[in-house]
Amino acid sequence: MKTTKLALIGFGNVGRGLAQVLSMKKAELAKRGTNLSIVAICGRDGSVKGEIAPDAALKLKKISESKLFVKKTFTELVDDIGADIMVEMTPTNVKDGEPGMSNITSALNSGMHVVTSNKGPLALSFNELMALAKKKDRQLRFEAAVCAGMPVFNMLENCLQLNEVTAIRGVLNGTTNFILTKMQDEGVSFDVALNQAREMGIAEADASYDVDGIDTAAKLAILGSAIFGTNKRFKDVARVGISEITPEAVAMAKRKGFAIKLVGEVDRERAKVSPRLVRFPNPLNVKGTMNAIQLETDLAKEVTVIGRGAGPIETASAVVSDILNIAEVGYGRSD
Amino acid sequence: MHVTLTLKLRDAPGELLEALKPIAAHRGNIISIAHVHEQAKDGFVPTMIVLNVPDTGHLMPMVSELEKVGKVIELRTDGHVLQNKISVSVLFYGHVMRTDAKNTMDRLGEAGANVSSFSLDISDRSKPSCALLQLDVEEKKYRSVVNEIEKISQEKSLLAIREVVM
Repeated sequence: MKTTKLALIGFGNVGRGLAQVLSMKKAELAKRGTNLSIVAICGRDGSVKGEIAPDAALKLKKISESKLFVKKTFTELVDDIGADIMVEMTPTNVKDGEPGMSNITSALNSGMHVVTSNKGPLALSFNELMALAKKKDRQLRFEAAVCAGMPVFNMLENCLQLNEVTAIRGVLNGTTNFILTKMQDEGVSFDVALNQAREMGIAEADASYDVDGIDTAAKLAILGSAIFGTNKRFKDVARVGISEITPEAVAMAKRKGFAIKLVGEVDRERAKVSPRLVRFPNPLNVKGTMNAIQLETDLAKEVTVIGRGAGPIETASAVVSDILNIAEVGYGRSD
Repeated sequence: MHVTLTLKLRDAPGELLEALKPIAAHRGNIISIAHVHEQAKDGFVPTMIVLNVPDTGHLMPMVSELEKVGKVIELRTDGHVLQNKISVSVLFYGHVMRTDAKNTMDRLGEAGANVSSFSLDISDRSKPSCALLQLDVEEKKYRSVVNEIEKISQEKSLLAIREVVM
């Protein structure tokens, strides 16, 4: 059995989702000959330093309740943890990428591989972070950063190897899709649909991150940089949100056989988020909080992945996929 | 010469017969006809006609007559695409009438779009309204039509929502 040591940074919904998946899938991991061991859990004010079982971690209401708690953050402990892979799951911040940016650079500099679900650092400094990973001969993987559990980068890497991607488009944000679906199905205004989304916990009190297209733009920046190598940054993505969409516009589109969706599009030249008309039979016409991402390729032509673009377990699914790619493909520490 | 013409025919009796008249008039000898029902939309069915034409002197007037009735989507000769049209819808929301709807259509026409249908939803002229336009655009002019839609949207403060085209 090969043991891979993980340092979990951020123990909110996604971090707990990962611990839950590691607990649920213990037998399956053992069958694969892989033991994923948590050797640190780091939060804003301190860390659990030492091996902790996923079930024990899940029992903690706060990580400071643990006997292994020390009042040091990840960047202060980085050289003492001895992890193979650092898993960065702090919240996205598209202003300066922190604290994810410092966490990722510290981990790579100390010789750890990095798996992240955090969009911020990648949307701001993709090329710089990938260059650092290459210089340190470490992997930086980020499947969970774009549409959670839906495979995009790993699908391209493992199933569409010789394909050239010419364009990517998609419904990449579940909150806005929920709002627009409500407007279409129930004829309600944007404000009413947004309030319903808030009541159901689908939208934050400050919904601008979703409705102004910021979340979609961050995902496009990552897709553009990772797939087209264009070093797209968040600020390079043109943005039009959905707050101006009226019930009248939605109703007219519906009568003519269209749904209005917030669509993100990126190719070698352009990256844009804007409301678009999507024909009812189009695979991008997904409902509710569902996401859809379509790759236009030279060999396989259009390939569309539809799924849940958010949620702790769904995100953990992509995180684990990246962890296993590193742990099982034999890309171990070279020192 | 061997030619493949894809025409946009209304899904109604007599449409095909009408389209065949210019083909016969310019000595087109039809080899096969296929309706592509799975790509039908907005009441139109793409129809692929394979034919032999004596030369370009006969082909071009034939295409231009079909063009006048807005029927040609794609023209291929010996495997090369000579002409390809994209059908795209755009919804404008705002003061569509007050900002001169005719001027909007003329500008789209100048940019290379043929407006094949225009639907307007207006209950009160003083309030914002919705218009949905269906455009047929030659592939090479598609980008300039998109740019014109964006310019119109900015200049006339209209929200423009374009169809996603594969």
